[in-house]
Amino acid sequence: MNLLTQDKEIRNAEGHLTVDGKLVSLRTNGSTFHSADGIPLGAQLIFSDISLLRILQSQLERNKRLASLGILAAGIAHEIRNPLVALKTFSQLLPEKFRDDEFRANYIKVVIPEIERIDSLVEQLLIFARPRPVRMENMDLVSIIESTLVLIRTQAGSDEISFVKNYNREHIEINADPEKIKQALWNLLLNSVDALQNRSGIIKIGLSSTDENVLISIEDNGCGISEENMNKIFDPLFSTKPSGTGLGLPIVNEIIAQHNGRINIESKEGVGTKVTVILPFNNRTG
Amino acid sequence: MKYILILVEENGIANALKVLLRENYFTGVEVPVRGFQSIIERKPDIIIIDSSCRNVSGYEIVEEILRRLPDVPLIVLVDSYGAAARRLMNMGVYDVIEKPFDPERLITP
Repeated sequence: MNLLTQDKEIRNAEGHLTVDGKLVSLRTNGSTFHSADGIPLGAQLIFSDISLLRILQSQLERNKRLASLGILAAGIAHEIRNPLVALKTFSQLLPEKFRDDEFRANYIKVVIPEIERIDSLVEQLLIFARPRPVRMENMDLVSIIESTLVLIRTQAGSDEISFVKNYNREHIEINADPEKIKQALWNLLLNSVDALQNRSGIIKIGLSSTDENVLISIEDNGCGISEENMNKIFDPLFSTKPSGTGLGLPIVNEIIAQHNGRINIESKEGVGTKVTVILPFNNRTG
Repeated sequence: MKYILILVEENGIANALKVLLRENYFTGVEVPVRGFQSIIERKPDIIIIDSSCRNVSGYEIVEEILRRLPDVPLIVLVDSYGAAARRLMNMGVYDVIEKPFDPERLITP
């Protein structure tokens, strides 16, 4: 009836309907039709049951995730066995070298970071393999960026870095999951800090918007990404950092996709890297 | 005392090897790079290399060492025994050792 009175067209509107206690996904198309002199005569609505399509889509997603996990599994051997070399060697030598001061000092210096490395790998694997569902809410992007910057400044190596901010507005409200966005920004900013490799540098954070989207850019003048590595940066477990897990950018990619956004990375080795994240203002859940 | 050159990218592995070998050998650590003049200049008696370096292909470096220092025993650390280990043995390396190794495995000749 609304359609008739408002004289509008409906294209591929999606929704749910409960039929006999079962949730059915529906796609709706509709239009009004008129007489030659423009008087509305009626409307036509077509409902399509797309439940099967939705089931197939979620199976496809699951298969894609399992394929990624296969790649992950191959890399895990390497990622865990390398720290295990130090753990095993130091632990086996401990009984005989317990009284050796130099050995004990080395033990603490080496063993704890290696345990933390495995721990952080497991943590990130869990996030990657079983991400919690997104919880969209209206949030202020500027304050999320600001709170992430406060945290990033506590990271080693960030003392020498100038953070240059260029926001086109004081507040930008978007519909998104604040925790996930924070995690994505954290991973991206940490990459920039690491790219500067403990030397003074600049990280520029830009924020601008169009009618539909908001654009976040993070630009550093760090080591950059080689052409050869450019097409591997989203592969799970690919990393060029000695203690990197190779899950930072895959997680960012996943989060941006969950928000129906896009990510664009431009980089030149020895010059720097610019990451642009494009997020829609409004996100329909489901 | 013999001089062992350790070619690894990771501090943890470098430290473990240094501690393990220091009573019987002199050790030096370098990050493997292509065209490694400094490795030759160090005149090592034995070389240990981690095959899983990120910035260079382990095989390339192994080939280069075997070609330029054919008389120096070369021991390669691998993630797991298998096709890679067989290929390395066929290339002519002295030994292939799986990580994480038993310390005895490395110090017993």
